[in-house]
Amino acid sequence: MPTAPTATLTWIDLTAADRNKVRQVLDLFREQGTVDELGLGTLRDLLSDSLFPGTSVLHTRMRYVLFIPWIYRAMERDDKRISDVSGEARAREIALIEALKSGDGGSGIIGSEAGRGLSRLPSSAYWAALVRWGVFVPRQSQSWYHRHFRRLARAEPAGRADDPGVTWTQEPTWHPRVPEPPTDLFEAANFRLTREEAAFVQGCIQANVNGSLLAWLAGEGGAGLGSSAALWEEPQVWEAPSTITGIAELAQRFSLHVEGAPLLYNLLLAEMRRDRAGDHNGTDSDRIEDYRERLGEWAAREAGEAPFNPDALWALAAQRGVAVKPPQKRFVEAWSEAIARSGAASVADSTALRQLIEKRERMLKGARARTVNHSRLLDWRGDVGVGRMSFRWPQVRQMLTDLHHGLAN
Amino acid sequence: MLAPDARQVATDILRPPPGYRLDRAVMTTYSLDLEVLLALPLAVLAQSDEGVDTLLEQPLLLLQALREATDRVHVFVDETGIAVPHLPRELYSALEPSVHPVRAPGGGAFHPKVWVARFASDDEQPVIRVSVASRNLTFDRSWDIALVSEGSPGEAESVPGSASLSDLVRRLPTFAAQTLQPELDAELQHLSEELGRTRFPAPEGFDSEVTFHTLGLSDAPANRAWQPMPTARRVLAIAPFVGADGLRALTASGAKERMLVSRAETLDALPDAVHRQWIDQQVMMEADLEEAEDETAGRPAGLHAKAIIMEHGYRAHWFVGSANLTWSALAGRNVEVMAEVSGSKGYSEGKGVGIDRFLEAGFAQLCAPYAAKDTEPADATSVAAEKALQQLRDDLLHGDLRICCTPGEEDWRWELAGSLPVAAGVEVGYWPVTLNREQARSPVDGASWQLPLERLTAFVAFRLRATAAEVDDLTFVLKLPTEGMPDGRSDRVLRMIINTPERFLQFLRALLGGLEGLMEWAGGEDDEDGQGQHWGSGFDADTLLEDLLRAASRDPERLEAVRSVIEDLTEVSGDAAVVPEELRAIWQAVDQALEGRATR
Repeated sequence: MPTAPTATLTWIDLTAADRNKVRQVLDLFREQGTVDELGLGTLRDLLSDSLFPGTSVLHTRMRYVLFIPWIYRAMERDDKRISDVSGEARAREIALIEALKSGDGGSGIIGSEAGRGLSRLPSSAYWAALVRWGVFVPRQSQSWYHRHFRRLARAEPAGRADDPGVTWTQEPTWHPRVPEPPTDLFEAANFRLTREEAAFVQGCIQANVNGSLLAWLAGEGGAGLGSSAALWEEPQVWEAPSTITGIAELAQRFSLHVEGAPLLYNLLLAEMRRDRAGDHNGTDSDRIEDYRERLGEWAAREAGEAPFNPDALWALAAQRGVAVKPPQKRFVEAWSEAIARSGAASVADSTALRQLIEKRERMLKGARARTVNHSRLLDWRGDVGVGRMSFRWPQVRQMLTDLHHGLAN
Repeated sequence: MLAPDARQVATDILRPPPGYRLDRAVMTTYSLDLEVLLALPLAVLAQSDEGVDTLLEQPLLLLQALREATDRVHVFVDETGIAVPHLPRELYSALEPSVHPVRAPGGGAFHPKVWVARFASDDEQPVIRVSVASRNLTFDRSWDIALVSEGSPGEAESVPGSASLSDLVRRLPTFAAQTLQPELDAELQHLSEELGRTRFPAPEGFDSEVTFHTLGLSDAPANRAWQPMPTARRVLAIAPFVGADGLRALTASGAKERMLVSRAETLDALPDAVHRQWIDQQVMMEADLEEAEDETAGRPAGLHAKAIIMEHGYRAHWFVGSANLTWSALAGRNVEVMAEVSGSKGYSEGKGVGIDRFLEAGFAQLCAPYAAKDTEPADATSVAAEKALQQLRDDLLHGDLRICCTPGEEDWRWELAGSLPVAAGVEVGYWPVTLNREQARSPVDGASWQLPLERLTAFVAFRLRATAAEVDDLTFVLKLPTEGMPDGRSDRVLRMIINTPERFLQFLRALLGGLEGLMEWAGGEDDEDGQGQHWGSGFDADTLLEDLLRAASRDPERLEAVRSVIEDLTEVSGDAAVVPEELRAIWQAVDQALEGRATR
């Protein structure tokens, strides 16, 4: 006998889950682009980390630095009822998305579009900050915390550290002075820090990353930050001690100096694609014109500065224990020397620099380099990696503004 | 009786019963999202959600699944109905053998949404499962109904209720815009013949068998609308699109009690005469729908179901499927399929399938009375512009466009041949779907592309833009006839996907069970700080050697897969760069160790 005959009359869905799975599959096969086409990312991050330790481009608002400990502290209390720590943490973070949407928190909700399909949770975006700023006391990774969650949760005494008479049997997981969460956290959350919360975060930053521009701006110096687009346009920055402004100056100068490289790279691609593909309606020709113009503007600005000497950058790297790979060093030095020798205005037509860029891309991407791989060249969207480095300033500015609003309460 | 929470997931319809495997699936749709078609193999070859997860973790298995699915799954789609994918993918060209553009003989839309899945087993009769639904192959979030039923072909007798569906499947090849492969044609004939001998039982509560009604198979459309029932006392009609002519087919039954559920915009546009005849008009409420807690998140928004329930005497007849209550649908311009089941209408609070039972079961709570509102007449310029776009699309369809591929030194030349119609006030852009839409070109001086072999495709995306009025662009994908398309392209496409050391390592990790790392790899790419993504990094010889050795001792079969991939890649690309040199050395060491053990 075949299986029993069956029939149904139902509503029918192709679920969001189906869709997400397909997307996941497609992503496995995706041509992965990278913002850092010429491998300058480590140098950019070296400067960003020196200026703003613990921060990330994924950061949006300061109060996440408290949301996450709040979520986990509550979980530590519920420890016996939780079977799957990371699943539970994820569920609570997702619940927070809804709560933030209900509250009038303003922009910056991580996952407000993706919802439960969110691939990168706020906790993972902020973990480095929590560690660096001493909010997560063991200074270990999130997966370490999850693995040791039960042991750590049980060691937590019931009282607060500032209660008299409590002695710690073990190092706490979360900083003992993390303020109490609002009672309606999972109903209507917002990004407004209370005075107590802001003072706590300020204290953590100043105690743990003292001497950085971040710590300086978290203090008095950062009250009344404007909406400057770049950190060097913010007057408060230049009132910091000279050890700090030295790094800010280096960041400003370096970012201008290398801004021409991705412009030249894109110009090169536009020329190659036009010559190769026979583009009849000329979009690539328009791009060529556009990139020449932008290179010209850049060259005018670059020429107004003293020649860039990369030694200061290597010194900073050495001081911070960051290893700069020899090819990366050679690339920057060759770029600097060529400009010092022939002037920034010659960049667009410099055979040597064009070869330098091509070689650099081939080194980084091998057979996938757009300059040699036609398929990848076809996928080029007309601008990759273009724009001046911002060193996370837009994110940091927002978070500092949150902090100072809180302090002013 | 069809409560709002009686739901099923469309892809489950393709999952075989225990002990069976999917032998073939024939699906018809008006519109098609190629992403949905990529989702199907997951459902086809994975028996469960865990199975899907396994596939996700093993891309090689998944590629194989895709390849098999293109053999087994055939989609017949209205030739205007393929949507432009939002991202270009080489993978889409691998779907070409599965997609068959068709044209309704009556000149309207090819609109049926029927899935016929044939499941085979080694020692049992085959099982044929049929779904008649209002659902297209898209991810639209909408309220859709499906009637699903399965049975096995009986002995020689023909089953009257199934004749019409059998007819549709038999005639599919004649609707196809391009000639089908003879094997596929033969398979359709065989399936049609089996369908004709299969009884399809009705769902619980109904006591009939399923009777299928197929409309619009003739190229001489009737001048009268199909009438579901000649006489009835009461009717509930549900459809997103409704016209006065279409409704007349229902009022002709003489039904005194009439209830109509549709979209507000549709009802706004109906003439007053209809409003007087159909006093009870309802729309589905959308604001009250709660977010689901489960995986079916993203509740439907918008009515898309088409159902007619007619009561006569003690019985209620249900008609569900693709047909809207419009003249095109009911008078045979479109191809439509409706499934009919019937049963006792039942008494209050009891069993039965009547209109009241359906409303009580929760449907009434989803509806609210329609409140008429004045509509602004559409702006004449926009209407004219939209018409011009559609006219040009039809001209494109009926022209002699085709794709020509000619080999060049390195790449292939891909170009559109034939005459491209033009229209005043319309700009045309087109591009192969394997490229992104910024690379659209206009047809001046016969634009062509130089493409690598794996980007060649029969799918061409078109964008028609009105220059004179502010109306939405009309975008669609056509699958066009091809000339000079090289063989073995789809194999190449699949192999090309593993085209870099990074991807190779990614697959290798998956094969060797490093699954967690794989998903992280897939998930973390939009990250400016993503230093881990650098090409050339992320290769840790020690870890890999360890993994290989562990696999060798515990699960040597896994290494067979590694062996075949490495051999395949070396042979095809001849490009050692894909398999990193360090890895090749490691592999050879492991391989020799294994051989030594095998011969000992």
